[in-house]
Amino acid sequence: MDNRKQNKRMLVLFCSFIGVFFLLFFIAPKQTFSPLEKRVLAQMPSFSLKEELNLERESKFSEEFDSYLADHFFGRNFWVGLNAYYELYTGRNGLHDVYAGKDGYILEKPVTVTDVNTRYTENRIEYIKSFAQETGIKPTVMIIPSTGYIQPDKLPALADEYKDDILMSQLYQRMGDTVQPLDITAALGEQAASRQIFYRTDHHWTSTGAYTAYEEYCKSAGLTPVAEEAFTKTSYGGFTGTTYSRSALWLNRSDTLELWQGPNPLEIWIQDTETTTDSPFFTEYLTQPDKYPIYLDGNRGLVRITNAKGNGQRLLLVKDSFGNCLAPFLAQNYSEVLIIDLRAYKKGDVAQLVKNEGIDHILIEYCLNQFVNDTNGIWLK
Amino acid sequence: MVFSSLVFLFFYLAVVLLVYYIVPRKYRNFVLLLFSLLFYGWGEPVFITLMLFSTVSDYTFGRLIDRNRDNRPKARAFMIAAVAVNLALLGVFKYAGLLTDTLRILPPFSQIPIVTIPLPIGISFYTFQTMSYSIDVYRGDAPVQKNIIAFGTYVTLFPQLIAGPIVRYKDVAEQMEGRRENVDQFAHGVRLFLIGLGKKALLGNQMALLWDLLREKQDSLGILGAWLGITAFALHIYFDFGGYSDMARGLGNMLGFEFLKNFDYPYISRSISEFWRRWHISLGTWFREYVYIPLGGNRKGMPRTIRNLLIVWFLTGLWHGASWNYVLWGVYFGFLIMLERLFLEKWIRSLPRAFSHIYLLVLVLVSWVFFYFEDTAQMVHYLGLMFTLQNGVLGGETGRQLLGFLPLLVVAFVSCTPWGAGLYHRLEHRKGFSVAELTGALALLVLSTASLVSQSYNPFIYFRF
Repeated sequence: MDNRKQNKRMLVLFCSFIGVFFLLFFIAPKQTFSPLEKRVLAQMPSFSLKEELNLERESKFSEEFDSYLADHFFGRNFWVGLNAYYELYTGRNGLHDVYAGKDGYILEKPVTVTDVNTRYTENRIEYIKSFAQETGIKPTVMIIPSTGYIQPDKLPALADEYKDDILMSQLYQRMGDTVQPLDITAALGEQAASRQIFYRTDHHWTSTGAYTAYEEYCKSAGLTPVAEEAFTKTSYGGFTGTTYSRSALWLNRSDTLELWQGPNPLEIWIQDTETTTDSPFFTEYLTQPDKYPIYLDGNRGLVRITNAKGNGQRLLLVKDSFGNCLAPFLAQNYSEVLIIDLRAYKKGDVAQLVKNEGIDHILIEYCLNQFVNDTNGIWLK
Repeated sequence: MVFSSLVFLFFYLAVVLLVYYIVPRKYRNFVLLLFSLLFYGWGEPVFITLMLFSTVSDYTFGRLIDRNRDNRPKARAFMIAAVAVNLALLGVFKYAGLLTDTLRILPPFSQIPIVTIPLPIGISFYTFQTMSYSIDVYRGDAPVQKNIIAFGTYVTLFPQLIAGPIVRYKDVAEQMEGRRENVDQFAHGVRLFLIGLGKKALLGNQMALLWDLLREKQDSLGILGAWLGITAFALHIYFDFGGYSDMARGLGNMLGFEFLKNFDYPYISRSISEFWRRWHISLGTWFREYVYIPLGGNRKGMPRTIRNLLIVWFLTGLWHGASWNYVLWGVYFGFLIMLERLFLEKWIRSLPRAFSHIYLLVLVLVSWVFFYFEDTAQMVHYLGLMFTLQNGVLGGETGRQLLGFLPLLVVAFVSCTPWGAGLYHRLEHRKGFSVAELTGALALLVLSTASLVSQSYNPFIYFRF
């Protein structure tokens, strides 16, 4: 072998590789937003020598420039995806908080209890208890277990253990008599045997999943659920959600979003945007990278759904994003469903709101992950 | 700036190589000096002043020592002054916190305020380099450098600036002005650099992750789990630091320099003494040349030898970090090397090979526990996990982690041995090797880039030293 020739090739390979990506960084157009990560990408930082010479400065030009470069590296998604598949096929599944499971399921890893989130959880439980006392209404509390717990058959071989049942029973126990626990685990598990109740590429439940929860709620509240056949269903393919984004396994199959239009006409008012519509489904999101806000326009602070043919009662739903899909089902029965998302409704004193609005029933719905990790429980106070 | 970052690879290095090879040879040192200062000041521009001070001080002392070559006491005084300045820099910027924290324990000093001085990166490396220069000039082992640009280039040279190897001036004296860059050396540099990059980005970082995963669940770590954990750390620190040294040597080659090897498959050693001849060679050499031998080495009887060993290993430990656990780590090795000198090494080497390998690995793995945990209680706790069955054999999720990381662990174990290099040399002259080698190089580049783009935050742990 001609060594000199090979050495030249090695030199050219290396220099052209770094040279090409150096040039592409300048030439290629830059995005400002990364839909897959749902975040704004870093911007070119400004440089100030005076600031840089201060040892106690808050941000460093070098660090900001590093993230600017990483965020706008040519073919960034390709590289991240390549790395994800490389990790997966060399045995390391679950390095990025999600597992690549079977049948195209990408599942969140089990919820873990830490010193930090234990404090949040304790606080949340206290807020719920005092909220129940102040309103004089015993709220129903529904905690939704994770996909991995309900569908262990979709997990990869080396997944950590899901202890959702233990966690949930501890939480219900600590809330005690002040609330009415509603455990939907069995019902979801039963449905999961034959139907898709969770998305493959997202941590949320499907409309089927939400409908199952709705049936269970009706059972516990003494209501008659609207039969599944009475809904008009529309499907939209090509949905990829949160677990897909986190996994970076870009070749994974996508999901189908189902919209279940109930027989009773509804009127939806969203306080945040001051808009009124007659459909809980915001189909304009179908053309956007993030399609999930199709349900109730995403996580709005305060939403009111009224149903002229309702049962004359008013329900307050305190919820996380799972509730966006659930609320329209509940509105089929109640005359009014008032929906609060504490991550956006940060006015506090919800008990007063309950009195002002003449609320009859309260449903507090959280998925286990949010119940344990969300820090906005305080806004119930 | 670290080598295993996008900003270094695709920005800094691209520009440096371009400019370096465009300008005429006589300006190349100057170009390197400027770019090295930029490299150094990237995170903390303030410390460039420290670097310039260091350069001017050591340059001046070098000239003074040289001018008084024939007046030994005077030359000696300047040499001592040069070393003192460097030690003072180290003392203030690295050890002031440790000293005051320790003194505060004693009643008369309990009122000493808490000192928080940010550690300038690489200070342990470049102060040691410049001390070697002053001493070598004094001893007549190295010529004085009269060109301040060339001298500044030596002090600040970015490939070895922040994590070594500790290049002694006498080893590169001729190269500072007389080097002739060429394609073969450059290509060799590319190979070394890519191997180092792969070690760091594809193995070192992943082993750090495994160590973190296991350590976080310490409460349920069984005896094998604890050994697996510290093995992951041992692999992490080797591939991290060894990879960094490879990259440094590779970059040196690309710029026409030749640095000495810093790691030589340390984990295949059969005694602690051998391990330290293969691990961080440039540091061991430094302490031998400038501390151990001047103290009398092993030529003045056993008590003096033992004293000298303990001093050297106390300092070696302290060099690694301003915390007593590093001293413990160093003295532990000093003690073992002393035992090996007295009788142990002969005995160990008379045993079957497997035993001596196990002997070495067990002792080195235990040493990494001292090295990792600055907190004594945590250190003792972890040692407890390694030597008792309190949590069973594997414990918790160790089995799952082990299986998940198994493919990588196998690659890591093989990479600790010269097997890969041997294979390379056997296949070198086969047909199709050229394509295979280029494909391999491209694969390393592509996978490392993918890994770097994916984890834009990637601190290099040897910064603390």
